[in-house]
Amino acid sequence: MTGDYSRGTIFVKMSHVLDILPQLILNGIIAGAIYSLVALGLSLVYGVLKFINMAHGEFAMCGAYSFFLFYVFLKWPFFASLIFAIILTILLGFLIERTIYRPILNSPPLIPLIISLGVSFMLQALAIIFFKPDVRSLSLTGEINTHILFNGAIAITNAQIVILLIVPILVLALFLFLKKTKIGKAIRATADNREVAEVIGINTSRIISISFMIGSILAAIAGIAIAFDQNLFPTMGLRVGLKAFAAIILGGIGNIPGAIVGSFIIGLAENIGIGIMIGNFSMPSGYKETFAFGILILILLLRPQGICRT
Amino acid sequence: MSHIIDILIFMSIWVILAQSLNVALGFTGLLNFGHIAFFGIGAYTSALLGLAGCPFVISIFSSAILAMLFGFLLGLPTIRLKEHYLAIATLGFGAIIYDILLNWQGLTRGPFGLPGIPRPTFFEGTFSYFLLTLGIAIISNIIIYIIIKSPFGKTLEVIREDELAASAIGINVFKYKLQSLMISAFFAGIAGSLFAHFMTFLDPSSFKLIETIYIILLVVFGGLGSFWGAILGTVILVILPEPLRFLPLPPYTVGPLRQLLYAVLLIVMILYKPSGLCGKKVKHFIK
Amino acid sequence: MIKKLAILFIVLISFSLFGCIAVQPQGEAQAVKIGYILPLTGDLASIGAELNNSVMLATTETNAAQAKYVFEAVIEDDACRPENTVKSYDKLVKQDGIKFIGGPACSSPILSIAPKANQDNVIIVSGSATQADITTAGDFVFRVVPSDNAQGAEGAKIANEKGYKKAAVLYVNNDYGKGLSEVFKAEFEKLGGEVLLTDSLEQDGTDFRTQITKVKGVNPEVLYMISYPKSGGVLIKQVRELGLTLPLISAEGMKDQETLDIAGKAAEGLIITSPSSNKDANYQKFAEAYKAKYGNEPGIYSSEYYDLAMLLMKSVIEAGPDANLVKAGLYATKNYGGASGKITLDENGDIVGKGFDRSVVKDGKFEAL
Repeated sequence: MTGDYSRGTIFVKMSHVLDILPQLILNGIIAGAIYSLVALGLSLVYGVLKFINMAHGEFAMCGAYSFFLFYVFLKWPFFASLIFAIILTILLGFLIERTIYRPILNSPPLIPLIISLGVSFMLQALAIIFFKPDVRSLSLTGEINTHILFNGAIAITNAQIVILLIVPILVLALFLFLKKTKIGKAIRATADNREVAEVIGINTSRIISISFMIGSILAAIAGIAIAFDQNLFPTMGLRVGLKAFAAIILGGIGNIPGAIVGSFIIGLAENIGIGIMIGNFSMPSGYKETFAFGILILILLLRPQGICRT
Repeated sequence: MSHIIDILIFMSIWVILAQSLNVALGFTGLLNFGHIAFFGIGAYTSALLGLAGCPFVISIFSSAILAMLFGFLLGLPTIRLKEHYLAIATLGFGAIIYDILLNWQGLTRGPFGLPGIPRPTFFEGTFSYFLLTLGIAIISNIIIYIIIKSPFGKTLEVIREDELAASAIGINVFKYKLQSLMISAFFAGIAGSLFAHFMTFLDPSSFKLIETIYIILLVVFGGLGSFWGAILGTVILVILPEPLRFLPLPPYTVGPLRQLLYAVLLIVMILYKPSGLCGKKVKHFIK
Repeated sequence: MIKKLAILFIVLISFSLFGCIAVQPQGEAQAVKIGYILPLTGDLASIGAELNNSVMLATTETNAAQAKYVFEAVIEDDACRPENTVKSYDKLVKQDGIKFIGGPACSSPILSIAPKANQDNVIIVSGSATQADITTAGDFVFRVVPSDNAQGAEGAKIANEKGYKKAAVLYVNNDYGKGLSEVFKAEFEKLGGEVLLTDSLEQDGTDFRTQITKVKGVNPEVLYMISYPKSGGVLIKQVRELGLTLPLISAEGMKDQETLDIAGKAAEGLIITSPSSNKDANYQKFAEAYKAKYGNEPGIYSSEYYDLAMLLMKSVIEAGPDANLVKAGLYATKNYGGASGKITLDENGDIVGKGFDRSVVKDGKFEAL
């Protein structure tokens, strides 16, 4: 560009920072919502298992692929596919929890972390072998269904609207479940202090399995929602799983509202960090992860236990 | 035959890398999930210095020292963090370093990589390079062995077992942990340098976050906190997938099968012998 | 009597000895191994599988057509990662004693083994590595696909011809993407245009909305995208979902049905450049044989790999399995009628005179423009 820097041009350039800011914020919120969906289940499971299941993202992937099998491949109706995809994921989760996680339940964090990493890789490898490394689409028609709002300032698709709606619904549902139902209270008691819970007669073994199952349901829903927005591929769980992990830590481990807050902070930080434009200058988008983890490290520097430590 | 020498060279490099992680993770209990970053920093530094004409001896030491410096920088803010927090913070560090290697084109040529990295004089051939790598691997392991058996090393293990008790008797836990991380980074840098000059071509894809998992696997498989375990584990795991090359399988399954093999091996190992192949029952990791 | 028998005996022996030396034994073909390094796993796995098919087809056909040599194709997977390429190279060259290698498919891998190949006198011919640096990668390195310099220029030309003066570029963050983006930018600006924004896309990424939002922010007239089918399809879809209606131009990395399957209707109107794919008789013959054996149409680069395999084997048949002689033979390749078009190699081992096709996506299919 030749040196045509009249003041008018600079105003125009500054203004397009503001032009795209609403969309950037929306992008951040959508990303945050996706991470929340995954972090929700992961945080619940952490509460009872006391370690982060690194394979949680793969459970989401499993939900997505199961749904694909029923909905696209077998052409079942939507809700039937949804239910059965969730059932399949619950089964997988149950199997893994009983055979692999249960034996090492009381070990200090390193072992479970690593074994769940192993599970994560195992599931990914299996997905590649059975489904091939290609990307699959859930869309049956190939239509673009997007909505442009506020005079072109932001665009949002149906899938994204659904995701934004699901998050508060699921959070509320989980909250009510944990607060009001008997099982929910048992879960909270077990999460709080397993030995005491055992002493007062709670069947902690059963509770652990139930929590894991709920976690699997949440993961499956997350996976299916993500698949509608971003398509399916065998390594889809890896990235979101990692960000969800970061979100949970950022918000304070074991703290479900913290996990949600952390998710949105990361989603916003990474999108706004690379999106902000001063004139034509912006950070190369290759630094997206740097912003995501950078904000994590920054916050941990200031609050080593996370933001919402209870 | 030369193919086998290649495998042996990779093995020697990975032995140094695994042992280096063992110092921080196995002996001190630091959950460093971003160890690959030190490897990458060592590799790129050595490559850039080599390309600028530096003699190999200077390149390898400078890379190790720079990696050690990054160990210091990483440790300073993160060592006080606990378990999961440390894990994700170090993982984040790994992600950030990868981003820099990929995107800071002015420094690293980004995705174009660095071709033409020179071999050290007298060690240009594959076999002679193997001797060099083997020699450095042996020396590094001896040094680490000495460190582990020294009072310093014993203190690290005490810190790993019971941090509270350690600080109660006056040990400056922070200082020891930091030094452990720095030593770990130093040797990872050495391994990185050897890697760069062996490949003679470097690009960021070798240092993606996923690679950290393999290093952790090597150490866990052999036995956390076991000096000989790290070596044995590496040797076995490097050799293991090679026969897969020769099986008549549909092409796209070989990669994932290897991944599956490693994953299942890891899971089985942890379930049935969590102390690893050679490990003693380390209380910190297994109750 | 004995003397006569002795003379007869000696004469017979002499004849048989003479016969042994003079007459080639029938039906004893010489075995020659040709190595191929292909991306059978990783990003380009789906393309890699087709390349595999193509070289196997060429090998089978060549073996059936002559009896002097029996060619064996030894396939190695490098997933387009230099680490693996180095290992594959060493296995093929040091273990299997191979002197002729087809592939690797990607540019960084070639650059990583080029110095060795030149030193070891091993011939490398790629059908898809397009980075500009490969032109000067050495005597033993050849390719039957044009350099990025040419393809990026083609994209810029199209944008210019359509009257666009302002462009934005999004590229997959590897050597292929970055290389093409730089060429496009240089060419487009030479033609009087302006590239307002260049930004990268994560290689295995699925959420490019912020990059696209940035593009929206600078308001260009056209978007030049470089990616692969997996992420490229998602990229196109998201461009439209974000409300951008501007024209899209891309390069051959995305030219695969997978892209269209993923992008759906969003891909309508996308313009793609690709090395001239031949549709003449040679290609038809290849495509029919491919379809008969494997059941589907050959994909991108299949014909190039078929050709390079045929060229390698043809050179061996003509010059013998000596790398230097084969090398000379390859340099002398002129107007070879391959399935991917007429192949003439210049003094750098690059293919010359290869133009580019332009295709546009209409009704979910690629159509010539």
